[in-house]
Amino acid sequence: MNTLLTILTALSASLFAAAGTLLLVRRGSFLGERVLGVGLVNCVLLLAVNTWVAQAPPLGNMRHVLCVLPLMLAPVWLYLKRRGVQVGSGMAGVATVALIGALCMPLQAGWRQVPALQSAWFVPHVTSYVAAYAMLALSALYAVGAWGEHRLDRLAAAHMLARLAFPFLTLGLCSGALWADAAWGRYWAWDIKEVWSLITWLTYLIYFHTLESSAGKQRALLLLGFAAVLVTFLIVNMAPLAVDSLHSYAR
Amino acid sequence: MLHASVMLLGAVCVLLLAGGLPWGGVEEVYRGGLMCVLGGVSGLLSFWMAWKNSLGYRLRMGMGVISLFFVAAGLRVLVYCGQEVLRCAGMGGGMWFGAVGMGCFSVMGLLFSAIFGYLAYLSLRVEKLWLAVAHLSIALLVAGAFVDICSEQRYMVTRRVGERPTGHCQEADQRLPFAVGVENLQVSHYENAELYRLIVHQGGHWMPVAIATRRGTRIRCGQEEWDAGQLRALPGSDERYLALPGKPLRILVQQPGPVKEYRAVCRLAPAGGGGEAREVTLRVNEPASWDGWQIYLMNCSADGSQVQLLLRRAPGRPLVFAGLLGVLLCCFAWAFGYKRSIRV
Repeated sequence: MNTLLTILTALSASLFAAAGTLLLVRRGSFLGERVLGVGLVNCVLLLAVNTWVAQAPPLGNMRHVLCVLPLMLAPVWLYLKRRGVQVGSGMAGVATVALIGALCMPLQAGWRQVPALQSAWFVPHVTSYVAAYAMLALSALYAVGAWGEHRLDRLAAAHMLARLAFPFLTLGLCSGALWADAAWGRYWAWDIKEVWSLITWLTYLIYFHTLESSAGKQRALLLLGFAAVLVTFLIVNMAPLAVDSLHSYAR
Repeated sequence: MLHASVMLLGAVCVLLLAGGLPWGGVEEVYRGGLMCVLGGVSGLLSFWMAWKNSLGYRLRMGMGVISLFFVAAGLRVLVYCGQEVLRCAGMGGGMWFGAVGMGCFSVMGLLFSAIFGYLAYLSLRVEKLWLAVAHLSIALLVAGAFVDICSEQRYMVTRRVGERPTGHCQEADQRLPFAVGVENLQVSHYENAELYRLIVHQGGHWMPVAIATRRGTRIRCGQEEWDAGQLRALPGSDERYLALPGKPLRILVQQPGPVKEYRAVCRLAPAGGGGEAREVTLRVNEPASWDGWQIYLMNCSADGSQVQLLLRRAPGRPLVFAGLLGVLLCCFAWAFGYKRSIRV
């Protein structure tokens, strides 16, 4: 089963890498979009196998979450495509990086849902954060792409993605507070993960309060926000301080 | 005012950063008075922005907020009655009538929410108004947090399982208006088919001496190995065992897996002995309520003889919840409610 999981993850990463290359060479490429679609179907299969192995929604550790991340981008891709915005290549890039990251994480096939995670809030809390982080990664990618050539169209796409991600970031924060109230008897515990998720939320809040400022400042804030996402999602989980964290089971 | 807001948010971020650095962060930074001051100023500023954003639409905003309150009330009825439906249906028999009745109330709650949700949508259709309500919600959240800082009561109590509440409060809970006891603690584990304890009978006692691991159909411990097909179910338990031949007496017992769930029946009685006692089943993530207090199952001892409970009374909780839901709703309405053209 462990071998099957590794093969599926590697196959999905390869499909997304191929789709990203095809879409980068030719924007809106028919073949590229089909390969992207096959990659997504493969990710659904990976999710199903992960669910079967974990005997619960597979959202309990870094590897699980990174395997789900590409799926979260699929509705955004379709939504923006309908509105004439092509983010297929960026999406494939983010999905590839996420799945390569998943391959680097320990498999943890014996992971089981501890009592604190058995809550109706578990799935909405984690999936909303994963969706938000996926969109913000894409947004940061477009913000970087808009840097050199003063491509305002890319900055507009980055803004659109950040705007779509922000409510999901808020949902993650609010559902986390409601869940913590039910599980630990307090809606805010100043846990390191909570503090960093609040810093991320506040950074994007500052960004939305400074939309009148120059394009350079907006780009810088978008990248600063994504840096906060990286700290919240990766560094906090791996840092020694997180051992005592209430979120230590997310490693 | 926008500049002031940005500066304030920046200051909060800097303060959080000081405490939240993954290496060497100092948590005390955000537990101090400065964070309270910044929180208070944020609340006031949010209220002012809500007032400013709603200029010319204040009546509509009032109608919208009242409608949202009724939406929340309807959803509360839906959730409460929905839980009762499941509970009654689980009991079966005559309780099915109760389940149907509660189901009707659930549907009414849903209809109530839908009608007032539509009214709220009609009232708050202007984009600026969603922003105003979002700011108002943040002010509400801050107000709720301050109410809790000033008046929250929390007691962590340990109870021996099987101990019934006498009606007289004891030790730390002298100030509680009720007595609490815990009965029937149940701890279940995930199945662990991989690890087994090798227990040997020595000097009149059973002693665990080694851990055996299962690979496929064989269980191995050092040089020895046994067939997993010979395992038998332990009486009164999900665990499996295998009595090994030879002397001294040896048994291979399946190691319990990680804890799957723990639940306990909590008995609540009014202080002083008068009034009716109540029994509730507590689980992690499912606290019980009693007269404005929440009772949480926090932990239990390894041998299952003691249970740790958190008793909490937080008057600001409804305000915080209303604020959280308001912010959430307004964020989604602001991001998805209006079509914007983007140049790509």
